[in-house]
Amino acid sequence: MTQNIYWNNQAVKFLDGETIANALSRLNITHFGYSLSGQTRTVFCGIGQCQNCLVWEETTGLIEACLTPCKDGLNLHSSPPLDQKGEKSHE
Amino acid sequence: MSEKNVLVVGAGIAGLSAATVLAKNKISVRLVDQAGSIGGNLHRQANPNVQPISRSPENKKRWKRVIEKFNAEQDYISVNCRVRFSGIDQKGVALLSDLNGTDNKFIKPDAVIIATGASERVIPRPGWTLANVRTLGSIQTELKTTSQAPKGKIIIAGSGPFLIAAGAELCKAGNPPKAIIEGGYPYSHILKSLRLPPSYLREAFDYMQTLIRARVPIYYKSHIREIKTTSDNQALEVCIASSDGKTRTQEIDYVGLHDGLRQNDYGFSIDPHLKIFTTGDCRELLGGRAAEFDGKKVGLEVASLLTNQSIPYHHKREYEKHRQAQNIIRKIYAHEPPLDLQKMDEQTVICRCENKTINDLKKLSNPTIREMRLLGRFSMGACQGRFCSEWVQRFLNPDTSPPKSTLGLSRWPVLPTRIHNIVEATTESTSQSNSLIQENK
Repeated sequence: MTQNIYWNNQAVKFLDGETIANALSRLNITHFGYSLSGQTRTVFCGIGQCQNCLVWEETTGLIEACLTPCKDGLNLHSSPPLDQKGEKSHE
Repeated sequence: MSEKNVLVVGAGIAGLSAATVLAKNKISVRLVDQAGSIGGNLHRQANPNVQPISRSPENKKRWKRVIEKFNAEQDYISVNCRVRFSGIDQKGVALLSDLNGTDNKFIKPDAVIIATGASERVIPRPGWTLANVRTLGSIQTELKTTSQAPKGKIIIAGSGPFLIAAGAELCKAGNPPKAIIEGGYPYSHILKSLRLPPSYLREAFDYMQTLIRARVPIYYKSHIREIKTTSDNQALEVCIASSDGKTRTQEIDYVGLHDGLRQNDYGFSIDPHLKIFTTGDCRELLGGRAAEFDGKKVGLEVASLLTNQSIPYHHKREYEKHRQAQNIIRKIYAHEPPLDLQKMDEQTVICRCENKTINDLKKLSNPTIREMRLLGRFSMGACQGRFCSEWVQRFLNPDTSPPKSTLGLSRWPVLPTRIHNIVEATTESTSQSNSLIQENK
């Protein structure tokens, strides 16, 4: 059975034990959007130290793509979505 | 079970060795790691159902030795992977959370051993914040866990033996690097290098053989000066400069940078009356061979302290041997700093988290450390200064090396922690803990 995460609503398959960054890397998705300070979000250190690879997960908020394991149906977005007042959600 | 319990943070060689000897002395150990499995950077395990990339005989032998001893002591050890350690407060209460932040615990161990290894040093340069420019360690991590190299042309640059080690692993994964750009010239110190222990030389020889067979070009006394995206935005273009001043450009998909290591001891405010110890690369950068002995040594120190008896330790000479070896390696690879921050384009980012440039730093003109943090925002970002504080200090004091200051150090928590994780945390009490939480209630 194929398991998928969803990156900006696109289905991305993953294998057991893979992190979000692993699954996205297979499709050459390496640019995860921009931080509030304007920095490119991408995998840099790969072990949770630099916080450059944060992605937006619908229930938890910002999470590290390099550490967080994939779960079937995980909904991820490349930048924090706007809240109801039309402001960027707080990091 | 023993009444004493120790928290070991980091399940690499040092952490595993420390946990093993503590358990052997009937002390309960909770071993936590952010990664999906034990092993740390050097012995990172492949994901389930993935055929691991073949390791060197030395690496395999060490892992077998360490893991057999560790597995024999399971009665006293609980292993929690994908668990974050946020830090420890002045009362000795530590916060542990799972990666989703749904399970948060305050615990009060009798002692803590920090075995969080090293951070990679990457010298800032124009373009180092672009997508697909990564630390070499992150490429190796992806390789070891998935057995697949990033798809596309990879170039490796920086300095030290890790370049040839990771380069050889990329060859084994079927994607040899297009080039290795090494800042030093280790062959000018042949006699010095022959003083290295045979296992170090054998390892280097194996890596070089793999690289030669895959025809990977190695350029010495060279560095990557600048990285840009190509005009069609589909790839990267690196500018490689050699010591004779010549430059050339190369089109590439991934850049793996590695300018050395430093201890990953950021954010720990180690209160002397708390029983907090550091071991392995996080205490002194001596690599995996020494970490095995150091973990054991520190584990025995803690066991002696908690059981009030003196437990003898015999590996001192072995440890000293590895310290000497690391000194030799440092000398072999020593070279003038290839990139001068003073002369670099002012728009070059120094602080990745807050997107602060050399120009932002210049505008502060002679700042105190407090001003650098509060006005400049340097070392105030989510990485706790791990990737900028050295360069900020080198820029401001080019003549003092290595820079010594408190910028980026001693600040709780050790990694970004949600308020939710603290509010929701429940106290796990094994002993009569007088934790901060109970007092607050």
